[in-house]
Amino acid sequence: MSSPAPPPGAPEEPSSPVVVAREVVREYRMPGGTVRALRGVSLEVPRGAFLAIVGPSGCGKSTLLHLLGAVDLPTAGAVTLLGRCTSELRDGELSRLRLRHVGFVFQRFFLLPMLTAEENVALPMMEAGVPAPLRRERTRALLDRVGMLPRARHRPGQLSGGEMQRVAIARALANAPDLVLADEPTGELDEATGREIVQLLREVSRDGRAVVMVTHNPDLAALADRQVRMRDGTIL
Amino acid sequence: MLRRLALVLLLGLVLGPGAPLRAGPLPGVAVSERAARSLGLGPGATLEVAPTPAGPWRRVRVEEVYRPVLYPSEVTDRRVELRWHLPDLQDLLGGADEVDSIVLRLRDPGAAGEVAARLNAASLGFRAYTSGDLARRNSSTFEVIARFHRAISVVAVLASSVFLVVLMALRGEELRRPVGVLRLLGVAPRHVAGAVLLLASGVALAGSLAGVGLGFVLSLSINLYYRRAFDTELVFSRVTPELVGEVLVLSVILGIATGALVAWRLLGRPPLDQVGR
Amino acid sequence: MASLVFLALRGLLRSPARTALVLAGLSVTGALLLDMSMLAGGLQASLGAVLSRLGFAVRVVPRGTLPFSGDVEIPDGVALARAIAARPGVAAAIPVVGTNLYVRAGTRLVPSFALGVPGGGSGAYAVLWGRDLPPGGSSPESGPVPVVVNRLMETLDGVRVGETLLLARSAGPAPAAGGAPEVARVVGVGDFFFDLAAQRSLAIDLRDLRRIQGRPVGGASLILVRMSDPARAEELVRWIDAHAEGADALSIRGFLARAGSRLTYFTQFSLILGTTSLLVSFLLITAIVTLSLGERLGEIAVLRAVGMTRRRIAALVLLEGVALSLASLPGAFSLGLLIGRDLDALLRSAPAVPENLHFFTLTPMAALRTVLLVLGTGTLAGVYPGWVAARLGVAATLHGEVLT
Repeated sequence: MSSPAPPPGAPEEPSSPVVVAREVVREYRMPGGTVRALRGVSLEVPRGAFLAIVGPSGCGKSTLLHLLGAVDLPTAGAVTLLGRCTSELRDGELSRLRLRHVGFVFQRFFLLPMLTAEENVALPMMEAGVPAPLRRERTRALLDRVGMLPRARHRPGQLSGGEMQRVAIARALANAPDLVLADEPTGELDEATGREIVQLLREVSRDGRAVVMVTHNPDLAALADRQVRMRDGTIL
Repeated sequence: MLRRLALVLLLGLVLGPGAPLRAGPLPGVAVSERAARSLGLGPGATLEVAPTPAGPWRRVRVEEVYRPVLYPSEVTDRRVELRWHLPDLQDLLGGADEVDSIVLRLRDPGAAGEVAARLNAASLGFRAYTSGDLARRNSSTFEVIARFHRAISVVAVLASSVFLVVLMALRGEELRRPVGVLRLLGVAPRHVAGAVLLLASGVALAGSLAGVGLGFVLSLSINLYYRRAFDTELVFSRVTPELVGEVLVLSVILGIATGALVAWRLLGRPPLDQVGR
Repeated sequence: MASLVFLALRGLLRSPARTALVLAGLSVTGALLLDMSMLAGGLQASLGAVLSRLGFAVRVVPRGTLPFSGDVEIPDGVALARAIAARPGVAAAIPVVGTNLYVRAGTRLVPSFALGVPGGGSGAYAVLWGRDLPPGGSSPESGPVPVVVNRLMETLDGVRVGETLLLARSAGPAPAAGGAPEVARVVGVGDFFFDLAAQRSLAIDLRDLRRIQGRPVGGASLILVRMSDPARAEELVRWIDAHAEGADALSIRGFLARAGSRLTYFTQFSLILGTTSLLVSFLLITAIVTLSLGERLGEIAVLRAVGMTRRRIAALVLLEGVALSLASLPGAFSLGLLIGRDLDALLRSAPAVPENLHFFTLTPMAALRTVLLVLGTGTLAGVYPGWVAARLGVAATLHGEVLT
């Protein structure tokens, strides 16, 4: 399914979902044969929703997340992000879409080690061309929001896992995205810290952003508004 | 064929044991191969020669074309070289009984040093040198060039040593986790160090062998090119067994030194740190 | 662009020790490149500088030669010099004869180079102390022939101002062809500009020298021309070439071109070694950037996920190569100048190299060429790793990073 791109400047309808997946299939050709990571998955993510995708390891959760975030493209089916079919966009357009409308939080944090916390958060804004004074102001606000303002000048190597993940969340929010995708954000953290992180993601969704979290931890998944269970590349 | 020829340098060499090359009324000369080729001369051709551009001009006949043995410093010379019977050349230059040098053949060549010393002691207004002395004096420029080349090679070895250290440092980073795992499993540090030393030496040796091969090919190309360019049989570049041996020994030493440095860095950290806790 | 530069520079600081090591390697290869750039035209640049300082814009030599490269002379050189001096834009035309003489100072017999000039003030040498030759030359009746000797004759042979010397064409009895020894008096000590390391030189009036040689005044080994209007130098060169058979006129540029054709060894050597240095730098930067890329695939994937385009990722990696090259330049220049100084001293120890000349000369062109080549190499070296980084599969890389 594909929908026409909205006219430039036209506001999205408040009620329209942020991202829609229709019968998406994702296959990988391997030396031993083709692997079907997703077998016709359909999903809608409305604005302001906090959705948890749960399932055992290898069920296709992360693959689905990547497709929702336009980091990957489906082999079949369609993913529509903010009204635009990702399969019809060129790489540059996909990059711009991600830069302005999608924020990512990863299990391994993936902060750039040679940048401070402040600089890591500012990076997407630099890429989007936000002027320096505004950038500075927004960065400090975001770090304050996640409780990391006192550690703004510290590099990732000087932070704990939980602290790094907070900075990563702040980075994901840098360009005020419509959609935040978190892939096992608590995978490297202890139980308590993991709960704090999920709470933080919940607050983000209360701001009106759609948050999709992949996790294999059912207790943390229960903190989300809605759970989607997957197994063997399909939604149960 | 008449050719005007301004002589840049005249060589007054005796051609044979007193046998002039006169054949007919014109004095006979021998022309070097290069000159013959560039001027289109051959036996029987005539040319006009003069000590200065203003003359006096004298006609001579080419009797033969010869291939001179050149000193290395002369290979780039493009001058025209003629060999004359000495009286003919002296006659051209105004008749003065003057020569630039006298060459002696001794009954006992081993006495050359003694003869030269006696001649010099007699202070007859000239200096005598043995062939060995002359060879050394003529080679002094090339000794300097040789030292220059050696200095450059030291710099090149320095650059490639740094290159090797950098590459092995990067490899060391890649090996950090596997080494940590091995140590946790109980593999002795000395075995780890040995493996790293072997790896570094192997890389250095393999690189050197490739370099020797490349150097050999380059050496052939250099000789091919310059021999053709300067029309000479001189050898400009030579890859000797001693040189190859030096290169390989140096590379193994550098490899071991680099490997030791990397191993020291690897084994200096606790295994748990290496696997990233 | 600013964000890419920022990230590239910060990338260099990721591992300071490793970066320092790479920069050390690049500094050495860059130094070698600078040295080869200096060598490529160094001797010519040095010669050109000396020639320009002397103040003679045109030199006239026997056809096909360089000054004092043999015994050949310009026929009627003195008359030609007079004709040249009458040309527009010419301040002076000085005929000079150069030959070898033997100098007896006390019990020592020293082979010397004798420069015959038409009296003092010629500018062919500079008087350091004492006085110059008399302006109009000396007459045979005025006693010993005045000469100006070089510093080496003073320091090595103990010749002093006021001392008497005996000058002769040969070390032995006078040759039958004419010329006789002359008694000379040292009136001054001078700098002869192109003296070799152990060379003795003296300046003497042209007519006195011809008398010693047993040759008439008329020919010249060289004519030095000083221009009142240097812009007319090339015009004068053309006039001399057209009117003087047996002589070549060389402006400074022409002189250097002729000298350059005899220095092909250094040009070719510097080309070969310079190319090798570039190749090593290229390999070093490519290897470092590619290998370090392998260590941070996850970061690259995240930058792509954040929204950086493939093109900008490639540009970032390319910039890292450029940044490495740029950072290596100060070290390359410092080391290159040090090494060049030592290599220059080594080459200048060769025989027949005048003391005032240098093989390794830092000219603006040599410096610019080095900078451009180093930066160009850094750019090219970043192309392959940049291409690899741009083609990275984001999702697959992120997945792979999690697994490892």
